[in-house]
Amino acid sequence: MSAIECGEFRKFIDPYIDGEFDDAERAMFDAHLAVCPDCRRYFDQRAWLQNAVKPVLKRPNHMSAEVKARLEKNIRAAGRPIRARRAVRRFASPASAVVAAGAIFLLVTPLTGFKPSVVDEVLDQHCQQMPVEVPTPAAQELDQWFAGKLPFEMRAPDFRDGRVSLLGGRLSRIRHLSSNASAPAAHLIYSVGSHKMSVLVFDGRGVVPFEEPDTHVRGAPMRVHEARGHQVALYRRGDLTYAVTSNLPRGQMLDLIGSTL
Amino acid sequence: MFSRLFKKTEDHADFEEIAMPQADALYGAALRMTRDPTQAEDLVQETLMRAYRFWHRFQKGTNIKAWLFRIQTNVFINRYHKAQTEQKHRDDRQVDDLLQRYAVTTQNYLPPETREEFLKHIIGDEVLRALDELPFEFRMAVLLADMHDLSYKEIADVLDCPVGTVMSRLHRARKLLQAKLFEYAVERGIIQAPEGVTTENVADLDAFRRRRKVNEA
Repeated sequence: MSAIECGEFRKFIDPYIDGEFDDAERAMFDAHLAVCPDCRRYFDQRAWLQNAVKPVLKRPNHMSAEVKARLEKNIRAAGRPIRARRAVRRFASPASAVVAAGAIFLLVTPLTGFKPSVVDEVLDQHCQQMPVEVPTPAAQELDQWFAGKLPFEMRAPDFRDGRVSLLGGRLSRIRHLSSNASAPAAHLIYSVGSHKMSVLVFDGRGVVPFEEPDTHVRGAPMRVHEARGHQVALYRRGDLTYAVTSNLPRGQMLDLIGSTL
Repeated sequence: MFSRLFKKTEDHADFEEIAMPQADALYGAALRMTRDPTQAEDLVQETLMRAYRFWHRFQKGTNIKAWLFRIQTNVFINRYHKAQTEQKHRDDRQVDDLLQRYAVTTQNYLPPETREEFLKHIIGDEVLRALDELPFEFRMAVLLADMHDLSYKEIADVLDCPVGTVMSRLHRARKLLQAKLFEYAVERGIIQAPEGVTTENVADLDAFRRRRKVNEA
């Protein structure tokens, strides 16, 4: 076993203090400490401070009872259909059973949905032939039309690609994940050759938990889902979340998105 | 359809028992991550919702705290810490500044006889303030190691980096924390600034303002 030097001792003092070392390593450090007064002083100070700081950091922080109750309610509501069913049996009125089952379904679906609900919702909006409220090929005009109608400053993506033409936009909404409330969104409709492409723009904070990105386009993290023969790409620009949907090939759609970034 | 729901539910049977008791721990960490009680509550809510959704991925018997912290860290980074590169640049500069200050302040060994005084005046909210001032990655290392007793390996899993990186971040983070605490102690006159150097040598507006407040009081 070779002896360690002061530089090494100080460099690895944290794993030593934290008990990360195995017995042999620890013995080497112990041995150095026994013969080096300077390092002993250094160790003494670090260990002392560490002991003083830890209890402050460990002071418990409790959530307010109200927030905790809401949180537990949300989780429990999502997780307890079986108990709820028992409760229903106890109250045993067919009408309340229907209501309760409906409530359970509403609460469970966004959480245990087989795809994140936002993807389904975005897809639904894409596939329905909703009329545009403002037919215009000019993104700027669209931004102006949305001004005052949305609780955020609308910035339509600028596709720098000749194949993409803007058909227009409409006001839409997107559902909150944890409640039945929904938030305003801008729904833009484009054509790319014979394909339709939708872009849903909304303030995603609190609406969708953003999935870990699985790809990057021009450095922008993105999550791309494939569902019902479509691609749905979710990404953020500033405070805004963009959901781009089309049945274009994945690579082609990401290229188009890349042209806006 | 309902049979599917019920199956899902059985998989989640122990969620409430295993994950929910961690809500306060998550909240404590969230407070230090967001530095804002409302955002901290949102962060915990989103973390637990996601944990619920991905509950089938949790390996029973492994550290639930580490697993939840990993989710919370990801949610936080995605939601609140978007301007990563820009932030990183600023963080690096801040760390350089701080380490320079550390070199200055720790020339002064804190004599054992001043320790009691130091504890009385410095160890309190100052620790949290010093922690809050650390750049994100360093703050996370201290938070997970000293607040929540995670091992280096577990911290590496949470922060998605090698164990060696955890060690060096923790090493630097604690040095920075110590430097800040010493600085507060110098401001309050509990310990003396090292010979020939004063904290005025480093342009720190916050420290300047705090000093002025103390002097005026």
